[in-house]
Amino acid sequence: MTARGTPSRFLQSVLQNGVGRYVCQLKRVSLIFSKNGQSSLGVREFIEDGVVDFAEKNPGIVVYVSPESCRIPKIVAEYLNGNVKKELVTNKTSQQIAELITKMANQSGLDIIRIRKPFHTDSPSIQGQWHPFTNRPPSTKPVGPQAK
Amino acid sequence: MAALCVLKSVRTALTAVHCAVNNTLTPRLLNGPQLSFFGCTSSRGIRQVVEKQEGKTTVIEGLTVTTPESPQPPNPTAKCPIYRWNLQNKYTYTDVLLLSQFIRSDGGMLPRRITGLCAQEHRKVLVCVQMAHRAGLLPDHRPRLPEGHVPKPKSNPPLNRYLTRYSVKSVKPIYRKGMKWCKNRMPVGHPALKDNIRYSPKPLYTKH
Amino acid sequence: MSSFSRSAQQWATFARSWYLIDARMQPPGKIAAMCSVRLQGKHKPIYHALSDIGDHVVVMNTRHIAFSGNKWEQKVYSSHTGYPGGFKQLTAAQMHQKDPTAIIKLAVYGMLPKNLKRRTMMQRLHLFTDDVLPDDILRNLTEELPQPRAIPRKLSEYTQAERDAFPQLWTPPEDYRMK
Repeated sequence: MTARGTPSRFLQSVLQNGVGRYVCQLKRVSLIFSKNGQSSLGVREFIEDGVVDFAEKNPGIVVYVSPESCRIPKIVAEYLNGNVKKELVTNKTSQQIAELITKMANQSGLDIIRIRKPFHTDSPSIQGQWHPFTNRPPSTKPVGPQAK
Repeated sequence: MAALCVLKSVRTALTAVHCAVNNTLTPRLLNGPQLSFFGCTSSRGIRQVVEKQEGKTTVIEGLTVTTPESPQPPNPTAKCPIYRWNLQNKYTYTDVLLLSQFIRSDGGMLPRRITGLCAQEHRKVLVCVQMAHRAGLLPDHRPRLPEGHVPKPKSNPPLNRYLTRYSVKSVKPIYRKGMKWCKNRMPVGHPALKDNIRYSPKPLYTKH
Repeated sequence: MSSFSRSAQQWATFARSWYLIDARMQPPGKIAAMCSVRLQGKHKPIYHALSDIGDHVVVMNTRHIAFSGNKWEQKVYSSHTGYPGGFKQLTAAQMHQKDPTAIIKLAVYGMLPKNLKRRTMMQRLHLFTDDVLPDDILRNLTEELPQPRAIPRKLSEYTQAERDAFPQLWTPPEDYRMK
């Protein structure tokens, strides 16, 4: 109930010192499933239908498909900051697995913990979020002493 | 009186006095007192004496620097040129085009009886000229160096400064700043210019 | 596809930008005020004191700063080495001669909040004595900030046409010989 003791952080990004450029933070994803188990049916379907498309769409992600004799199929995702996330996909359909793996590819890999100052709005701005280039006059000129 | 008139008419005929004399003749001519009013033409302007030496011949030429026609000042009856152009409290050290009209070629002020400035404005222009010199805005108006003198190359580039009230050499460092209720402040600008028109909402702050 | 997702938008919000300031003929205090705001991130609408969202600031031409008044001679920087008799006092001119970046550095350091973030923010301040910047910094620059003080023009920088256009305020008397 009380959030005092739980770990928390401020809203942050993975770019510790960088310039704003999107780098997909998901490094490696492995689909662990059983070849003939009942609970891995959806994973097997996903491997037939969608895994090649997913790999082609995200060339920065290494996708491993490893059939093992296991009861519980899993998706193990490794991120650039070293975090490893396991998702259990028992009895999930191929559609659900495709959504799940896209979500993991979009995540930053930071721990999902309580966020301090969790500002929320029901009517998000139609202009989009603020970023350093909003309301800045567009300039294509190079910046620096040589520009003059 | 008549002779003087004649002399005058002769002078007016020769609008640009041109006397090419031999080197031997020069001292005798220069001794004459009448040479002091060198050209009394009707057109107004600054006189300049230009001396040229070509071999054995020295050419002394009295030139009239003609002033271009300027627009009518807004307040033509006033005596002081600043008041004539309604420029009271409207100029500062950055207006070098204005300040350069009141200084000699070596950077000093022209005398007040020549420029016709009133005492207060003369002082303000003087203060502005000093600050412009210290800010390096009048680089060509320097006292002329003696002949053949080559200035020593300086090891450090000159320090940029502006609104400098005192001459650089007269100021001593403030090693003891004092307690916070009686601090020893560093003045910026000059109190003579405190009535200048400013367009910022902040109050003037001259004690840094 | 994924680059338009919400997470990428959020990362752009927190991206650090690099600002360039040209300190030629500028008062160091005003330069430092601009720097300290950017280093703390106070110019951003998402500012919060505990979230580390300061930007990088590159100041060039620190050798050519300008002090107002007689501060080059009057202003004194004091320090103590910690040893007996180790109290040092340098005027601004001596300090500038010793290290041309020191004056701006000290001014920014004094304007930052006095907490543990101060050294981190100072590391994001890059000072250069002249207008030669290394390539890896040049590549990051996103914006050049306007100079706080308008540099007045010297008399020699006015063209002859501009000088002629300025009206003659007074007419010299007839027999005055200009020096």
